[in-house]
Amino acid sequence: MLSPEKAGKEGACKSSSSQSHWKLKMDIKHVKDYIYWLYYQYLLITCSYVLEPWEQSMFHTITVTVFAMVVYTAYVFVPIHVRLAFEFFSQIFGGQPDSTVSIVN
Amino acid sequence: MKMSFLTFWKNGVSNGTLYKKTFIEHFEQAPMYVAVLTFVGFGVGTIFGYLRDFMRAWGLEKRNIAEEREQQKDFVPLYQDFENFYTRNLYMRIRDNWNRPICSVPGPQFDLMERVTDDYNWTFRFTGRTIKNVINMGSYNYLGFAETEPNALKTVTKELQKYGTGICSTRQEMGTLDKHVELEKLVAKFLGVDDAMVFGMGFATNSMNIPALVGKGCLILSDELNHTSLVLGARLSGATIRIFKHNNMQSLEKLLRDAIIYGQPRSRRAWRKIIILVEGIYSMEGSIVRLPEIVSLKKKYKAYLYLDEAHSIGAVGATGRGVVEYFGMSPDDVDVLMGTFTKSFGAAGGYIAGKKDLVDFLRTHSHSAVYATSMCPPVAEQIIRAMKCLMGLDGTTQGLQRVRQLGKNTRYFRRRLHEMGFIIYGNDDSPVVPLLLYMPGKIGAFARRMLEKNIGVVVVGFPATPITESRARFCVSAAHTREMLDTVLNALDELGDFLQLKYSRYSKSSHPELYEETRFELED
Repeated sequence: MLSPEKAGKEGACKSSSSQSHWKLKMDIKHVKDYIYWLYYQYLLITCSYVLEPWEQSMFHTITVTVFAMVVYTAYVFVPIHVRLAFEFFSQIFGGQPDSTVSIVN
Repeated sequence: MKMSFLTFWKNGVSNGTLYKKTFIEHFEQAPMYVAVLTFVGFGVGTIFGYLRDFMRAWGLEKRNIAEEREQQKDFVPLYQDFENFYTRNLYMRIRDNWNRPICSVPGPQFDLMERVTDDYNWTFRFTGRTIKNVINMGSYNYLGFAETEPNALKTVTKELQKYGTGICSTRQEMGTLDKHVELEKLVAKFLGVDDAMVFGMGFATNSMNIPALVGKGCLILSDELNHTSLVLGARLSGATIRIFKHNNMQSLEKLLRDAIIYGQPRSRRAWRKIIILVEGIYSMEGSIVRLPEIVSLKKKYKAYLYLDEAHSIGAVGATGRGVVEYFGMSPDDVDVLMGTFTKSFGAAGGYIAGKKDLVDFLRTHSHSAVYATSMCPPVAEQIIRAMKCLMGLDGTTQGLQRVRQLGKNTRYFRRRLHEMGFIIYGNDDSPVVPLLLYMPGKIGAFARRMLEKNIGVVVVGFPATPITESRARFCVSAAHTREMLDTVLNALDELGDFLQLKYSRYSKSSHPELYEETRFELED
């Protein structure tokens, strides 16, 4: 019983929202496919593709653990080392004259 | 890893007028990260191999492998070397890609029996279904003579009804049929030599005849990548074997010079005979032998040449007469021409051809002639009809058309693969196309995914190739139509992107469809 215009507008609204909804779903699918593809490349490169499932779980656990430890160590220690190295090199090139002048005054 | 060079020799610039046409070979080396990742993959496989062996030794896991009996535990261990370790722990995991039973003629398409495994490839079980019309890129069916058309097999069925299948004797006793005599005359005429002799099995032709030709006190110079039959024949003969680098003429010349200057190892006497063993097309590399240079070296240093044309007879050359015709040389230059009928003729068996005295000598002195059963008559008839077709003696030009179709298919397939960016080894004219996969994880993935797309390929790994260079080997056939090759190429394109196999740094373009001018081809 709706007039054709109203039906057309409502239909248009519905189709555009369903279209954007569909596009969002397609994007999510693309992202999921891409992540699956990255995971598959990791399996091929490390030859864990040929392992049995329990071996794969063990290998993934070890890899993730080692990777987490590397990331944590980098997070904790790298800034400190960088700052110390910067201080060391700046001391060599411009540090001495400043210190002798300050004592006299 | 091989040295990388794109060798381009044009009409005698480098070596006089030996080569009448360009000789282009590719042996591109992959980027460094590929080698590193291949070793990483093998490292992971080895670590897990040790883990599984440990579990098997301590009873934590059921043992499915061959092992010694309880009473033999204190003997010298049988299964601890690297080859057995590799077989147990790496080969078994992807074993379902080999030994697949087929249930139809191995033409351009065939049927496979479907096989599943419940315990990770230790045992297989047939489901009863067959996978139909799988495109065949693995069979050595270069000219497409493996066919079941009744018209083509008319003479073969007639001979089968006349002679039956069994010979029940050796050549020397009562096994020489008139079919063999007819076949030998035809083979000699085909190759342009004096005489030929045929044997029932191609492998046995090499391994049983080389010991008859050379013995102790002789020197065998054999190519690095020679087939096992040649290696076995050389070892059985008892002669000294020296190996030169694959297709490398400088290495061969150095060995020849050293052999002639220094003679035998301790007595310094001259060698009784120096024989060079090479193949026409090497089946794992797809490279063609450098025949003109070898012949000039052989003439200079007075050595003999044994050419194994297993893959090249029927497949190269303007009329299918092998590498001798491909380089435009005369068959008198090669002392022993050997070949097999398994590949291009759709039959079984091998031949040795050459001068009449050579073949007469072999008839009495070859182990294969004296002890092995001769070729069975329907198979001999199949070879006769295939050869007559090739030579044009049956009144049609079908043979020549097949050879030309094979050449076209080969060049098209190789060109497209190069354009797509895969690393392909070998000469541009050889129908054997090895595509490099490198990483062990990709071997199984590639073969399984190609079978899902209904294409059957052969993948090769460690014992047959160097450990870091695993490959997939395609054998182009004259029976493949353009559509089949396009299907395979599209599947390879997709799979190459998915598995990241396009390692080449010299590819023309990653989007070949944008280059319109390469689409025009002159059809015969």
